[in-house]
Amino acid sequence: VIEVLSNGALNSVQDLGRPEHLPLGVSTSGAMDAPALMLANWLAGNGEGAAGIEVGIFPFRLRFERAARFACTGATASLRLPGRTASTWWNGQAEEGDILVIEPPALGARAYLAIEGGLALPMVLGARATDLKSGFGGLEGRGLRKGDRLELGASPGLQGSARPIGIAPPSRLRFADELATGTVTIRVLAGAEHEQFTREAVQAFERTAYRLTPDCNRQGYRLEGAALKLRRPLELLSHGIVPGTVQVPPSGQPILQLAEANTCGGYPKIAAVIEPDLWRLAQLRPGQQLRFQLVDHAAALQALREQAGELARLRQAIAARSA
Amino acid sequence: MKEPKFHLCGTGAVLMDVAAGAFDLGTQKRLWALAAADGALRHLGGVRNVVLGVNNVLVAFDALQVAAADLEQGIRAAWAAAKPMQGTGRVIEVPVEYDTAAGSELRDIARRLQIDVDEFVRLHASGDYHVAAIGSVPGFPYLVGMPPQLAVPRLQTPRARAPRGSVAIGGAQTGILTMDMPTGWNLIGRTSLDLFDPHRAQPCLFAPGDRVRFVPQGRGR
Repeated sequence: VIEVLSNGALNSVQDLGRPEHLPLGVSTSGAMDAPALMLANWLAGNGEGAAGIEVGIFPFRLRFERAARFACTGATASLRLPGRTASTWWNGQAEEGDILVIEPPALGARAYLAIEGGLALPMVLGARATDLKSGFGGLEGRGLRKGDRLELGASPGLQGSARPIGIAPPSRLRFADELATGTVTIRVLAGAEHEQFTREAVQAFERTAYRLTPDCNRQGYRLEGAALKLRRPLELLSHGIVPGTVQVPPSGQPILQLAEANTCGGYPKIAAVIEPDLWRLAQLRPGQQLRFQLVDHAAALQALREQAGELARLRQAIAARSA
Repeated sequence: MKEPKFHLCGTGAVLMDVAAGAFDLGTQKRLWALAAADGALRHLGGVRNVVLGVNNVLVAFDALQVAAADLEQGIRAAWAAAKPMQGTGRVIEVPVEYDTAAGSELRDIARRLQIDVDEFVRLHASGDYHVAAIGSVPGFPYLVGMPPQLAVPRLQTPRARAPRGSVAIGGAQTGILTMDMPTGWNLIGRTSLDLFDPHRAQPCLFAPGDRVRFVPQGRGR
């Protein structure tokens, strides 16, 4: 068991979500930064889809009521344990009674905490992920509160020394460099209605930066920047949308649809963020800026393969050093 | 028939749009067959999921397993061969307490449409509704078949929250809210039916192809 010692409606139990239930109108949900959760799970000795905690409000504190290996990834932040400090992107061993503190991140917006055995919450529609919008999954369908007690699953029976393992994914280092310049590049494929926007709009979409407004959550991010106008008004019938879709409502200010997006929508779509760049959005905070870069399908596929390759290499490296 | 249009939606999904302007029930009946759990799209290689829309369908796929162009060809062929499905054969009765009280939205809409309140309720309940698709939020049915004279524009500013079970009109569509949620639709009544429960064996009460009858209850009868 672990006991949560911090309140935070944005801290929630997440796994890799329930994409197979989209036909019921159920959002994918799951970790906004899915690769980070997978990596944390591997570092903690779990399968990639074990339930962990997505932390969006810092500092976050919890008490271990049994000794367990854990790992924290995603944002870059300091961790505190009794008598020592640690860091995200490393795993560690907590003893019974230890209090772990995840400090406000130096970089990024969301940290992922995985604990040996995973969080043993009931499956709802095939996943343990919290759907905050619809109010089910995770712990009672809500964000975590002080005093919540979460059962851990059976320990996977970890072998080997508790010598800490750290990882430094190259993709995360590049992201950090970009963030330091003040604007992060997000690769997109043209959306179904891309051609229906004015020439000025298409140019502004690619050449000017968009800022995350305070209205950003797991459903989606509202952006502000150059308004995007259609050549003429469009009436679309409702259609399926995927996380990463960039919709443009009549105001002309784009909306990024994310993990808990509605499964269908009707606004024109100027673009869609490529799957391997979705995690970058999860690590941006309101006030930060991004720039959209239009890529073709071949480039998007290449990026997808690179991401899969990086994850496979890291998984192997973790396994090799855990042995 | 109109040529289907294909649009990639990111790396892992393609939208087939077969709409030709306004909604067409005949087209949707073919999509029901195509998008069903045992439908042709489910059997194409690399397909992860099929999301039925209104005169369109989104196919999610594993881009590392199947080339988008090949999948598109498969979808095109499946669409060309798709026969209309005559619905599920189910008729679901939805008891509705139409809110005809003084000052209600229903009264306000009826006045704007210059329709007597009782006639408004009778018309709304007389519609031969089909569940065109399920989506947006969990279990939400896109219902088609509302008598066109009841169409009324959405609110300029959506309300922050309407209760689950609300029966509502947005433009030419009618809908039933499956959870407490913001909406720009006009509320005309309530039903006690629970349209979505993630803990039920069948979480959604409705499925695409179901017919729906609204049955006025109580004072609104």
